[in-house]
Amino acid sequence: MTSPAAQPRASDDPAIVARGIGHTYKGGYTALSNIDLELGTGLFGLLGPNGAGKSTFMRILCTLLVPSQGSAFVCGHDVTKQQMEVRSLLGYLPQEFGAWRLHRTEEVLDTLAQLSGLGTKAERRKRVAEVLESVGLEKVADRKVKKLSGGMLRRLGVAQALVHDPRVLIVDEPTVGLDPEERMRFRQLMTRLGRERTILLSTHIVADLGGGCQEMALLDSGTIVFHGPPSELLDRAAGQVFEITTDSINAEKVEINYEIVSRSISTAGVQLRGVSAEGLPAGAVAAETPTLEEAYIAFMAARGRTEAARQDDGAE
Amino acid sequence: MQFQKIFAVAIAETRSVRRLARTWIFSALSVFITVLAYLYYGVIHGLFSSQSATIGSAGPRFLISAFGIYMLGIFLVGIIFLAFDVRARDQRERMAEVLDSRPISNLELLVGRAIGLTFMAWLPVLIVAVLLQTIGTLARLFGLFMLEPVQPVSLAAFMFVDALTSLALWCSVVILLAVTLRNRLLVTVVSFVLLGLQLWSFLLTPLYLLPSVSTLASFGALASDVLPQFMTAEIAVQRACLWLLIAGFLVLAAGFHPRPDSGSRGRRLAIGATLAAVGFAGIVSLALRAGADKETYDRWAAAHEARQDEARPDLQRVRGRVEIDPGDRLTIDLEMTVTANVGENLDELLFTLNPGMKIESLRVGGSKAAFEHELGLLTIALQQPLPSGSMLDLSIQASGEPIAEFAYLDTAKDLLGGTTFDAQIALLGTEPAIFESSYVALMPGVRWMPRPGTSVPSDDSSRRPADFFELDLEVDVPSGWLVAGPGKRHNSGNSEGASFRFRPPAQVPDVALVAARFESRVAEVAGVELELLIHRKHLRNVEFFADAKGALLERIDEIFSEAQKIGIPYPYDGLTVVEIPAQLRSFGGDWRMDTVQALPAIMLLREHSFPTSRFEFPFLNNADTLQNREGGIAAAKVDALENFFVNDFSGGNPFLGVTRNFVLYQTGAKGEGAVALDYVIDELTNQLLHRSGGFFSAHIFDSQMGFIIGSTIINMISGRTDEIADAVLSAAADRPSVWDRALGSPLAKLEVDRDPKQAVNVLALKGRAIAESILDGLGRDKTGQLLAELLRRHRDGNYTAADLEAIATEIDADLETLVGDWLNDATLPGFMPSPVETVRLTDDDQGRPRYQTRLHVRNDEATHGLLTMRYRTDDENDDADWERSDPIRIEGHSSIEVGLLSSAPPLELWLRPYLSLNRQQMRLDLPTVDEEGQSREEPFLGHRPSSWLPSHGEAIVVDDLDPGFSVHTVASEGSVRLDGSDRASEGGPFGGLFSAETDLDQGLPEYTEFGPPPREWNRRELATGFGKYRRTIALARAGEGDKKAIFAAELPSTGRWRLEYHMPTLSSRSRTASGSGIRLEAAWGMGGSQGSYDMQVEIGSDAREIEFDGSIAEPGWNRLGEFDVSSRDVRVVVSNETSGRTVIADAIRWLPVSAQ
Repeated sequence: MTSPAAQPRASDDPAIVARGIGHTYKGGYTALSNIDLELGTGLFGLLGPNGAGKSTFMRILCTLLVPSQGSAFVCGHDVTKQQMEVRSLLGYLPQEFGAWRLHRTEEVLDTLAQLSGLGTKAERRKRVAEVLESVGLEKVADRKVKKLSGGMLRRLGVAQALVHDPRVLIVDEPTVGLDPEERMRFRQLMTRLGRERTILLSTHIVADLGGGCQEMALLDSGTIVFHGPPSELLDRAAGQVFEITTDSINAEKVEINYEIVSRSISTAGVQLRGVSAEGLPAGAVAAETPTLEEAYIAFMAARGRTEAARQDDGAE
Repeated sequence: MQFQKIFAVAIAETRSVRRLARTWIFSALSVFITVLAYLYYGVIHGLFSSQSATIGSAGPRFLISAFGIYMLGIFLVGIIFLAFDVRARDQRERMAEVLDSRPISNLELLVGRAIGLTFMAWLPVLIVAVLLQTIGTLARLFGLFMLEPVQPVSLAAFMFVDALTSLALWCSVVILLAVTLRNRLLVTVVSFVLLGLQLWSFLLTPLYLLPSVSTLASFGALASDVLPQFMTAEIAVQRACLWLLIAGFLVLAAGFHPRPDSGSRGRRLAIGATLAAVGFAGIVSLALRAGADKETYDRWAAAHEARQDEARPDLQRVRGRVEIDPGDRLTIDLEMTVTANVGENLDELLFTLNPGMKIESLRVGGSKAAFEHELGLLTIALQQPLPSGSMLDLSIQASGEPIAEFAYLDTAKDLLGGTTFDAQIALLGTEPAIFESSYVALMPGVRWMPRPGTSVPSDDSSRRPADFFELDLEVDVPSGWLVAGPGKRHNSGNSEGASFRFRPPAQVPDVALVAARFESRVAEVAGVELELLIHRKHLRNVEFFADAKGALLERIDEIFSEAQKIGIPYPYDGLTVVEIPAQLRSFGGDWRMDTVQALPAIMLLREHSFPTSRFEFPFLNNADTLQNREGGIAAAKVDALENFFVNDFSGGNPFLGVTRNFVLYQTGAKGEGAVALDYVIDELTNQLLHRSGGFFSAHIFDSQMGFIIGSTIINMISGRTDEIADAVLSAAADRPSVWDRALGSPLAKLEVDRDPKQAVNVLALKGRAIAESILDGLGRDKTGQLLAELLRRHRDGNYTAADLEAIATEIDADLETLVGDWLNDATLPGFMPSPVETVRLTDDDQGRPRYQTRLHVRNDEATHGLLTMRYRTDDENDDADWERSDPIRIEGHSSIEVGLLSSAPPLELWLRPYLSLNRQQMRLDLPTVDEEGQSREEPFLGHRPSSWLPSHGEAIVVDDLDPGFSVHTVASEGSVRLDGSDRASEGGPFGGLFSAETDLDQGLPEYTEFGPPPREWNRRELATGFGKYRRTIALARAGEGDKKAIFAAELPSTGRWRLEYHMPTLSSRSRTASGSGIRLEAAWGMGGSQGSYDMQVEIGSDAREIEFDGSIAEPGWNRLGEFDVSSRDVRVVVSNETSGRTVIADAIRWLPVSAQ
């Protein structure tokens, strides 16, 4: 049996289309407004500070939330009217994933695979083994969920999202709680998966987007404030990212007056990298290759949202 | 809906649930309790079912619906804790969004969950089923005398019809609550409230509605091998409705589920509500139908009641053919001959015929006749009135399926209108007749063939005397079937099926036909063919008793021969003992609800009695002893069998049942007192042929049954009687309220419709005593002659009390001398014995010692009465060591002297009235005998007139039954409240099980021997207590001194008086003469040790404390002290404050000191 997720789709059709999506919660809080997006195959990064509306947008796409305004389509299916079709096409890793604590790892995957329409037991068994291997959990297939580490649980989350081989993968803050090595493996995994499917990855950790990200959107206070390839964001940061090596006394002054992204100490003194939209500090030179994180902070700083960007950064 | 997804959720749910500790706790608890209950019943049944046919109904094979209820109860609670977080659990485990993003609908999700939960809750049922069947099968394989597999159909019905549906329904309810309320605590609280309401409504719902509305269809249903029943059509419909409800609740839950899915919420809610409404409507319609059915039964009853006084024809002869097509059609083709009773001209013929039967042809005197058959009343128009004494032939052809519910329309107890609290009577069967494809029981009460008159009254000979008629019936049944009918079954040949003929040589008052594929065992005794028809699965006991067959037939031969010798031979050519399924109702209608197991020439054998009881245990490891006894094991088995049946208080004692054929089914009483006459004549026949009577009252199978069982056990273990039936009789009938009613009106005027239960008890209490008086007074030969003459003159007809009296006079049997006008006189004698004297006489010629015991007995009432003396001189206290005097008659207001001679001084002496105001036997205090001196007085054996008068001299005695005795409760400081009539007896820790109806004994609650002593003052009958006629004491548990017993007296004069306090003997006695009816007190239940009393004497306004220690008090009168009495008004006040456990208030005695 062919799973719904594996059904062919015209490659030029966008996998995710959002038109004028807005959502206001019952309390009156507007989490999203007028979101327009079209996503094709590949890894799409959704960046933004906490509370920017990333999870709301993803939950709408996953049919868990009905938008107050606008419409959204996954592989051509309306998320508000064709929920079953949409669900069969996507894999979703929510921000908080736990799984049934008393079930074994492979049991969780088997059940969810079955719910996603994977037919025969043999087919499921094969697929479960594959995804477990792909996330490096093959050795704990028989272990109960409650005995998995935080990282293993996160990987199980990825595995469950992949188990039915979905056309679209939506992952919400996937690297929270992962150690650096796991985060790196995760980025590699996302890059690999993004070659043949649409991945919408939301994060407030800029580094998680990695090199595989072809397109990204920056969401702030429920609206898209940037949409384009990461290179464009980097271009926009040109000249706004500086680096300076100075003594500790002067470094303190720079840190007070400028947005500092990184700080290191060497025999030459204190090395600082930061952003500034209004001229560089004395003795500083413009960085030749700003990172995406620096570009993000620079972008937010330009919008007067430095604190929001810094909070997220600080959280990491 | 995709079943694969539902299945996936269900599997995941079972994983989740089975890994929860609480699941295992509930499972272990339910399995443990159910298996324990099974083992308990199994052991009880294995050990004791051989003791009584009634105990046989506790067989574990047939009780799955009873003990399975424990398991269901546990899991109904368990489901609350498994399903209450069916949504919250996913959220708590952060699995909700992952699940929600799956392409599965809410309905699939919830249905899967419900299946998983229900399965896990049902799994223990399966485990228990396997366990019980394994244990039972192993027990059977290893030949254990206890435990056996549960009846498989009943087990399957419990598992699939009851348990599965109940659990699924409850599961769907809790899921609906969990989804809508979304708060575990709230769900738990609401679920428990609903569960409580369900239980409450279950207990209070009338029984006729239960099959329609209960989720436990087979609760209380009697399982059966003979007629196994998985599910009736009605239950099937009801279960279907419940499953609609389940579906509706789940769809509603899906509608209320917060998770968005493609389905329309409104549509789901509408569908869910519709499904639930349809299910509910189905149940309501079933309930309405049940109500309508009941109304139909009530209409039948009303129609018959309205015409019950109309003249009815006297049936003379019935001949014809009955064709039984089981489960489908009954066809009758009968020729009937009727006459008009003397003094009656019949304008029309009134019959009763089951409304399920449709008349196809009816001819009167060969001509087609007009008739009306409505509401079970068949009215046949006559072209000209039938004059008194004239005869008329009818031919009736009818067919149909008899409606069982048509039987016993006048049953005193509204069985259908009662609740589960009164459902104990269901133990005696619920189906008045059976017409199934595998079993047919056409009971007379169902009126499957036309019977003259209305169907009510169905059992009241004073209004409707028995009607005897000749019978010649051919009965066709399917091939391989056998049928039991009145008398010997003759083969009459039939090419297709089996055809039998019943042509009993004597007339019958009723006809029953019982047919099925039976195993048959035939023997002939005294020219009578005895046949046992039994289910093929129930041959174990037949084989067990195979080696006693000869001895058993000898015993039966003895009875038949004895009857022949007496002049009341067995009247029929055959006697069939036939097994009936547990469902068949074994009691009849009207006020008495008498057993219907005893039918003319047929004895019905309930399958839970002999066929399935376990007889092995008493014979285990006992072979040598039994082999060496007289008659060997065969005789022991016959004794065991006799004992088994004698102790049947469910109306199935075949010895008593068969006895009815000798007299009761040959002639019947009529007119005033006919009911009592029939009872006494039947009791006389029983005592004559079996030397023991029996007792059956369907009324005791009610909410008070626990009390009866408890009292019976105490009666047995305290040695009051050896026989369970006697113990049951004592527990049911020997109670203050029964005595009060017995003394209130003569038997002829017994208002049977006013509290029929008490009426049966009164009849049993007095009827048995009257029969005993007659038998003991006349002797066996004369009594036999009386019955034989009664039969000779009135066989096939009816007799009155005057007829009986005339016969007695003619044969010189002076009934008047023995029992006076027992039918019309409610007064009783009252006996007062003098102190007993015993002296040693000179030794006899052989040098053996002789002892003379004498006493006087005064009958202080106007009515004469009978008594006997019983005594023993042997320490062994074996039954055989008891001597009994001939009955002694004492005229009213006169005294006699009784002399007894014995070779040793009596160790125990009892005065046993047959029926007197003393109510109980009296144990007499015996003097110390001077063994050295030998009196030369003439020996005196027997009785002679005496001028003795009881006297207390100048003593003033206040007994607990005297007007001077009262009890009070100190309600508050300085005030007292008079107690008595508003008191209820306490049940102690067994209150729920053994609580008795409040029975007041002359103002005080009757003492019951369960649990601790009573907190309030209770009255207890005690043979060693003090009393003029009745020997009673008042008794209370140790307390705070707020319960006071007061003995008030007015002394004739002031001066110095001595005060004495009477204490009964409290010694324990484990056993006494069996069968004698002698009643001994037992310390068990007395409340244990005595201690110091809180006692005051009040002389006028002067109160003084008295020291009295009950623990060192002597039986009899105890001196409390001497007092200078300045006021004639004196009171002795005893409170319930004591250092012991109980306080006893029996009697006080004031003696003037000058008189000492």
